[in-house]
Amino acid sequence: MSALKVIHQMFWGNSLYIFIYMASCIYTLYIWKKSSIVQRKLIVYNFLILFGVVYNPVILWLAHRYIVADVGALVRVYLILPIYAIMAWSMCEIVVGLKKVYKKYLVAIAFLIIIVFVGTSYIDVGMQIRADNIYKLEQESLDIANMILDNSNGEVNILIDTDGVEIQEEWAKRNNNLVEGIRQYTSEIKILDSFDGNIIYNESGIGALYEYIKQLKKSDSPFFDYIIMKNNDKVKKILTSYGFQDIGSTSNYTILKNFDNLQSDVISNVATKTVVIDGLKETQKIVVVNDMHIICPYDGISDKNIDMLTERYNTFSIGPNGMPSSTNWNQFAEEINVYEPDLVVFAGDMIDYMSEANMECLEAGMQKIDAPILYIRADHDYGVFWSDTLTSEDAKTMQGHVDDNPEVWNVDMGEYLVVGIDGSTWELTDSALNSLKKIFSLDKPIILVTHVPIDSSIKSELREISIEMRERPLVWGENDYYVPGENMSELLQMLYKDDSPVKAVIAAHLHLAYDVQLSETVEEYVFGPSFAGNIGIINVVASEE
Amino acid sequence: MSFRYLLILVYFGIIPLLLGNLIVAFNKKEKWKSIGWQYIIGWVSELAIFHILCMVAYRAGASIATLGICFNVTMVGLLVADIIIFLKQYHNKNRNNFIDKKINIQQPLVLFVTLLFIGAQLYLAMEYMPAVYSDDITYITIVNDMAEKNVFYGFRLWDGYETGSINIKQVLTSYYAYCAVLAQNSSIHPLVLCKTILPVIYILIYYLIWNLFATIIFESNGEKRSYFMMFMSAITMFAEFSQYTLSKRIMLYSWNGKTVLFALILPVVVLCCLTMFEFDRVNRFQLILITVLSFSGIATSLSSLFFMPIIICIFSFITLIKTKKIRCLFNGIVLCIPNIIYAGYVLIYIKGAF
Repeated sequence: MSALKVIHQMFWGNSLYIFIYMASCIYTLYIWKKSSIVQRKLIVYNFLILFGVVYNPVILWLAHRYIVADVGALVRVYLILPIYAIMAWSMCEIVVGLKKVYKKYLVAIAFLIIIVFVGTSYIDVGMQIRADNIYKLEQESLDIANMILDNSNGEVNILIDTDGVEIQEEWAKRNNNLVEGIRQYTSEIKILDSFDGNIIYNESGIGALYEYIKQLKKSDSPFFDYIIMKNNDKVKKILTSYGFQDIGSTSNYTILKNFDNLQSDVISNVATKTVVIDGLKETQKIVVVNDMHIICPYDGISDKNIDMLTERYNTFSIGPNGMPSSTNWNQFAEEINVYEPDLVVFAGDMIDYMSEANMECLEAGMQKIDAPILYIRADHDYGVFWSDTLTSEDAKTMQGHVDDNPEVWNVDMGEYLVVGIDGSTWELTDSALNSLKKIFSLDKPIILVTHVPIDSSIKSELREISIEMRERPLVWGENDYYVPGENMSELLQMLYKDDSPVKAVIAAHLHLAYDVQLSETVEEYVFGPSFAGNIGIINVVASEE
Repeated sequence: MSFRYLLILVYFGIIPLLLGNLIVAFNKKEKWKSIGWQYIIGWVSELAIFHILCMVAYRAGASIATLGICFNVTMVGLLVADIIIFLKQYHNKNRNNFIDKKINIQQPLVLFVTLLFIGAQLYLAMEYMPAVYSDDITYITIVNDMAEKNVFYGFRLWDGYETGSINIKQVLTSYYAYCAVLAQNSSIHPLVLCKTILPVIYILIYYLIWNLFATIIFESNGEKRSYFMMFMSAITMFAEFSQYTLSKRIMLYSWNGKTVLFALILPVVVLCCLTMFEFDRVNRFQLILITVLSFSGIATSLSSLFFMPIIICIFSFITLIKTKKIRCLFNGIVLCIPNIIYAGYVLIYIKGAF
């Protein structure tokens, strides 16, 4: 019964033709005696198909069970019924059976009206659209395909914005007209992959697209030759600045040719975290860069330290592309812009040691960043370890040329503050503590930045992982490598309090990435070193309430 | 008219007519030698011959272009044979008149309305874009990929990358290859061919079949034939039963083999069963015709293997009731032999393939 119900729904739907057909079947029986041999054969054939096949429960069951898994396919059985012929024949017999000509015309017109109004093929305007071109495709997919074909030689792979509609086996059922149109029109264009432009442009940011493209490049699959993206001037501008070539655009899409100029993958890993701030008006993004350890080799180094420096150079400065951080830094800084940050945090150890060359390199990259920078220094940023000439005072002076270099940074982001502690490898000074106390009393949520992580008050896992990976517990805590003095202890107590305004702590130093619950209310994010291609992204979002 | 459209005229005009003449030559009854029958039988023969060549070409690993050349050469050979037969018949003055004398324009107004409906359908088929959806769209992509890549289909539909394996539908039926060969030979883009040219041709063939049908069931009654065709054209245009409805498919989905099977080939089978096939006595012509019909049906869709024997068996059963000769059933089964043989081939292929 269920099979019968399904095929009735699928074939007749809301159409009243079933009644006309059934009435016609009965009428053919009525005129049986007047019918010729051929006509009788047709009548019997119609009824045998109808009751022997279509409404035969045994055949329905067998077909349903053994022949077709999809019951809807059984509707095809209807197609061997002479439905049209039986209906037209019955109407024709009724009309011709009338004696007066005007009655024939009237009845014929009445039948035609019934046929027209019962049927919907050409009444339903949604069924067909007047074709604009001879290929009967949507003009936009045709234009895009032709632009690519004109620009390319032979087969090409494309990456396409499909609004999240996945390109896969059942793509045709998902009614993505653009992809379907291109695939119908030409086999020269292959669809490498699709992405959701809405998410990338509005939620994750352009950096997500950039990351995605780079992942594709790293994978074994063929790389794309063209990208078809929704029109977005900002995205287009950024991507073209990285070597994409603008081929053309339609009313909705822009076609960009593959970038060959992207040198390498200097940012290979992005750790994304989310911090919730009550009452935040719009989502903000903070990019965290730390432990870049820029080394411009042998600049200002005493001869006796060259071997040591070489070892450090190989250990702490080589990026995922095999190039040193001093070489990568400029591109690294440019790529940071792709993520459209509202604030860039340098969480310490940006240079490996103080030297003029290292500072010049660092500043050159900083100038390329199109966002405010909060730069807290750590031991290496001030370090004159391998220099015979520079002093600590020189280092402070040189750092002071970069920015104000305060003891405590306080960047007002509107609904919250980003607060940075300079020189967190050392005990906190009185003035720094006082500044922090003042900031804590402002009654605004705080994201705290410190180079050296702070040990958790409830878990010991951070110190354990530090011991495991770095042989020492390189965190601030009573039993750790950095034992807090009076001021730092007070800060830690302020942090651990249940009503602490601190929402999250950003840290670095360990050269590994780890998240830990600092107290019941505060989470600490320790980010991996940037010389190895790591950056952190903190998405600051409003609470859902 | 450019040369490419002339080639389409050759494939759907001259070849079916002459090929039909070759097949009809085996029929001794003059009654079924009208130009309409000749065309229809010629057209299904063209499909059947293509299917056989396609199966051989696939097995031999030939390209679509090679298949097209083989098809053209075969057609030329058969047409030469037909011309010889034609000349022989003409010489013997035994040639049937090509003009169907039964065309009787008794109802000019009704004929006008009929032509209006058919004309409207032709116009819609030419000017309007089919609202394609579901897997129907994939078939036209298959055709285009085959024509452009010049190989039997072995690509993923959704992205165009090669798969290394060919879908069973493309191995055991040949309609996609037929469209691809037509597109290649005529240099017409498959989209233009399948979305505009073929629907127009198929609509004309469709009404030719139903006109033959009207001729058979109403014999000499011109008035009934006129009214029948008028109602047929109106129902065909407006009927909207379901997504499987013939009227919509014939005008929109010419690239789908099932459309051709259900709208054109199976009605021809019903027509042949009503008229030409004498189930109490199977002759050589019947066997040739059923073989041609079977292969043309299989060429378009494998569901023909299921539906064609049903139609044949039902008509043999009807003849059994009428004549009381049990031989009718046996003859019905004999006429199903081409389908049975091909079903065996399908099973062997599936078993081998998996």
